[in-house]
Amino acid sequence: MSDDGTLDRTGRLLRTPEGDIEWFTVIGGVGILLFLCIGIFGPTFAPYPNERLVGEPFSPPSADHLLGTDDAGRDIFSLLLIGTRVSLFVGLVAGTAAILLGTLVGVTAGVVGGRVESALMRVVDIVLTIPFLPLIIVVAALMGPGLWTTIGVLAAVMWARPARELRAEVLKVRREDFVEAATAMGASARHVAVRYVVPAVLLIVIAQYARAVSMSILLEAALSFLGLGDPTQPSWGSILFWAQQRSAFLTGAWVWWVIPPGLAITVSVLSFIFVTLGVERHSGATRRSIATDVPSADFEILSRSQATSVADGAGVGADSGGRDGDASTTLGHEPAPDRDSDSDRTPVLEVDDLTVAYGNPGTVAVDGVSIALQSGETLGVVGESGSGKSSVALAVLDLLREPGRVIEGRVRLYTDRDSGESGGIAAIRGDEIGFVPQEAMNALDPRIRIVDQVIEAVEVHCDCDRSTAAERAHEQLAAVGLPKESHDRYPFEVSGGMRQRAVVATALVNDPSVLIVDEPTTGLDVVTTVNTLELLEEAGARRNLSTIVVSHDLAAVTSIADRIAVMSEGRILEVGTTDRLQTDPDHPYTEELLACQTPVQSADSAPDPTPTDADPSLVYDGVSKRFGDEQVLDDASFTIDRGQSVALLGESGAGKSTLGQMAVDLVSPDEGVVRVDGRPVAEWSRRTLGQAVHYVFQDPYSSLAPNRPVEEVVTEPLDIHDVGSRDERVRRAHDALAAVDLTPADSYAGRYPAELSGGERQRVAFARALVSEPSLLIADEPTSMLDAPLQRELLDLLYDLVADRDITLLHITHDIAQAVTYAEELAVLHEGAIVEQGAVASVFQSPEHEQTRTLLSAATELSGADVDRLLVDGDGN
Amino acid sequence: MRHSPRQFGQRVLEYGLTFLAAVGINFLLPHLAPGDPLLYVIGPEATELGPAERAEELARFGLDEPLHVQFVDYLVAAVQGDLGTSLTFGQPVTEVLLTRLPWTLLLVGSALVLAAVLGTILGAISAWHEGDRTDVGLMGTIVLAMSAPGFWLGMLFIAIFATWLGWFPSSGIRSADTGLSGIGAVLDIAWHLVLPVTALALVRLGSIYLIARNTVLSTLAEDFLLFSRAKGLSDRRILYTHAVPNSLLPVYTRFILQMGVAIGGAVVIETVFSIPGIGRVIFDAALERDYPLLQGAFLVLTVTVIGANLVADLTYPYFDPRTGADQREGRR
Repeated sequence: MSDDGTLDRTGRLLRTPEGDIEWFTVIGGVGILLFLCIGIFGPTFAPYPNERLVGEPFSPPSADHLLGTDDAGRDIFSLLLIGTRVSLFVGLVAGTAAILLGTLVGVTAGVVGGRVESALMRVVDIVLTIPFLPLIIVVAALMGPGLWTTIGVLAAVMWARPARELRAEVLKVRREDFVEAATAMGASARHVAVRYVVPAVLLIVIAQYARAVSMSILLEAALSFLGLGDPTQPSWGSILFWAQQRSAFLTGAWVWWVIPPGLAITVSVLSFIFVTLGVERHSGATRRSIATDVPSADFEILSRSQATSVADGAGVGADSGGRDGDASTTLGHEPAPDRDSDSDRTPVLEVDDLTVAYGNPGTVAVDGVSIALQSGETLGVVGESGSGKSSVALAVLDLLREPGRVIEGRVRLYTDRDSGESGGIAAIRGDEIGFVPQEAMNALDPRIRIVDQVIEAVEVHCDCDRSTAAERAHEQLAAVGLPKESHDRYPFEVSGGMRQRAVVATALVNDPSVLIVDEPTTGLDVVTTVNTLELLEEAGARRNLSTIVVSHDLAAVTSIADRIAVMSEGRILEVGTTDRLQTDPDHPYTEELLACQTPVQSADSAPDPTPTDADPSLVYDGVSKRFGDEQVLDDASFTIDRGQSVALLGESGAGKSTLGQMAVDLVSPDEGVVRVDGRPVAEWSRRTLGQAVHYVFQDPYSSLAPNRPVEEVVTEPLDIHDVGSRDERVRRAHDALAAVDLTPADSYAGRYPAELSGGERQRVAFARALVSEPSLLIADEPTSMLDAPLQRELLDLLYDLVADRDITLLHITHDIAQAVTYAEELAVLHEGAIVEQGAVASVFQSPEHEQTRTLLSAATELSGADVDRLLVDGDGN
Repeated sequence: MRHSPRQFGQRVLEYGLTFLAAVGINFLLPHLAPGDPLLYVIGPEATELGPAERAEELARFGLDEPLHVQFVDYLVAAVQGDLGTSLTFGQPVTEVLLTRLPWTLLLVGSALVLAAVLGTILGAISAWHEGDRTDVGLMGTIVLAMSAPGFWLGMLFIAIFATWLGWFPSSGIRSADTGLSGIGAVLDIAWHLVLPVTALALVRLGSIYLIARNTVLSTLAEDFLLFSRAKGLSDRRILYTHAVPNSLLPVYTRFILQMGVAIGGAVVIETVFSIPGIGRVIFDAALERDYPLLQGAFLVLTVTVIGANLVADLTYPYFDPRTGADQREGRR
């Protein structure tokens, strides 16, 4: 996700991204101003100038001499004021020179890249290795001490670090999706530099400048202390030099002679460091640490016998009365009736009136939710993203992170296991309640072997010795289907699916009575999804586990859940058995969700592709590409004719995006040729290619620049291609916004991407695509980051736009159902090559390749449709 | 990154290049300095030489040769350990330096290790307590220490702990008159090192602390730590077994980058505490204008830093078991 902090206007210098005052920067700034004033005006107001012997040597502070006198009878206070100017002068000038040079080198290296970058960075590394102070000493000794010599050497060594930091920042910015989007649209290096790089590095430059100045002050002080400073320009360090030379320690004079100059140096440097800290504190991801304690729900552990059969209350939302005052509408805060509760089943986990909010006061994410998990069942919690379902799972386990917090709620666990009467939820996590988090494949510590992490989970909760724990760990890993050789591997050495299994094993290894699973199928391709669900089913069956599965994927949940709770906007709308909900849902929202499940049916409405003798729009001819050790594409070839819409399918990581990006020259093939409109991509100029082909990115949260309003985002292609007058561009942008149903266009035009939802942002991306009137559109998983109902809406929109304007479309997706429903043709990418291509109907009825068959059957299994029946009906019966 | 033979070779080449650059700088500086180059080789006597003697001296030191020939000669000599003769000691520079190098290594090494360990632990604690009093208190104190000049801290230490309290000696590396040996001698040296090492460590602590704090903070936001919580691990275990080890890489990198600065810091500390190390030599030689010694000391220091970098680079893989090479980030 892009970082708002560095790209925002400079006004952010004094405030945190949340809007609070950044005290570090403010205090530091005040300190700097103070010293600047002293430096400029101080010497004029010094009571006694440098040379004069004006008092008794070594006399202590008095009214005449605020800081006493040194061994030569000079007034120390005056010396301090005069020294301020010299010390600051050296610091600021050296710092400025260092920053100018460092910025030039760093930004050039980052923007230009290639050989120039390597050469420059080599020089930077060399300079960084050389010890500063010894070098300055050598130079001072050789050249003779002097103010400008010092400044020169300081600048000559201190530019290297800013250069390195700035290059890193430039590279980071260049890798952002929205910058790649601009490049794909044909932006020149200058456009990218001015529009994106400069605002991003501005804050870093300020931070580095403050750091360079602070280092310069310290180094100059050290140099003067060693007697190598300019004798005609005494600085703070010089005062200390004389103190050392004249053995101030032997007299009591050291207190007023040694401490003040040192303090002056310390405080001035501190001010600059504060500014550096203040600026740097907020550049970087703002995700929240797990360490911060957050208010949690009341947690009780009770014995099984205390669990009363819940005849009428299972899954009932206890009405807390008058929370929003309106209980009369069906969508109001009423108890969600559960018609199907089985009065013979006892609850094993109860959640009572749980309310969770994010921010302070913030938004309520979970609003008085009550759920009862019955013994032995699998309960699905289903809803769109933002419905609060994951928050429920996290809150139950007390795993919420700031800014989330539980406002009220009670959780009761009924168990007879003798684990932790004290310690609440923290003691039984991982023991009695197992948890499989979202994106489980990232839940393992990358530096520890898989089996060791499972063993750790065992050892924490049981008093067994290592070998017993190891035995159980291996056993459990094998039980989830992880091959023996993989147990001792590191997480990065096995596939994502395997890692997920390992995480499930960890959650189950201590024989919990409850398992909570959060979004087990997000981001997975169809085959892995099916495998994962099977795994969960087996686990549940084998040990009489009670499971809660939280997911937005209704298809996945219906295949394994006994009962389902439907959530929306923080509330439970309906609870019931899976069968009943599917056939006879009570709530209109449930009906809507069910309708979005696109069963895999042959699209009988796809028109026959019109034969044309024009150049095909896009041709991949024997394309190969290697990334590091992986051969991602291996002699891949396929053709898209003008006006066609083709869906490119394949498992995650198969290389589909890479193929797409080759068409806009974001990636070059190692072998083979990519042709657009008959000409190889390499022969197109960046600008004209950007006009002919447009690439829509997958993640609407990162493909739009955060620091510009929607109108500018949409006009950017026109700005890059320098088309028409300003007014015309704005007009076209507004037309495009209207075409994607973002109306009123005027209102949307002025908003910033951060204010829009995911669906709205993707529409903006579509609008941006339209405005440049491309002949070829490449949509890379355009809806995979959105919820099911939204996906359908957006795909309807996309295909309508493409059809109206006769645009050729390459639709990259892992979702077979989508592909089959919308596209005219399918192409399947497998192991680096295109193994199948053809009209949807024919591919569906008689898939040629093994892989296609696998994908199709997995998809149909998931949607519960009867494969045979569909195949027979494929002709539009 | 696991080093393949090719990468290893490349690394060595890079270091060789840096070494050449250091030698080059060392060689060029006297030639850029104003005045008679002979001055820098034989000292003030150079001004008293007659023309014939002058020509002889110039030839003897090869100063009449073209610059690039001189450079090669210098390089060859340096590699063989010949760095000229010290004007003040009258001995070969290499000899003078080699007796002093160990003290600097001892001082800087101890200080850096102390700063690294303390900085990492304190940074981790600060990160865990982000925003509350522990964090603010720690950060305030450490940043304050970081802003103070090292030599000033040293002077204060001497004034307070040596002169006033008398707990530690105020200068030197050994007690002069006692005939200590074995363990006794080692302890004596350690006692003398306490103040200087602490002063140097305090100054270097800040940088490591800040980067450790930052890195641990972002590691604490990672998904796999949430799962550690879900497994039921204690706070301490999560922090020290999982968060910190995954945060060490940037800390280690900063540690390496810092070595050049740390060695420079040794100059002032050795001066303040009168420790007979290379830093002190540089200082004395600068004052006495003993150019051969000065340059030789600078070269030895730079080579030390290069060597330390090389060693650190080779141990880098132990911090990251993952194979290097470009891992495709975010590409599906």
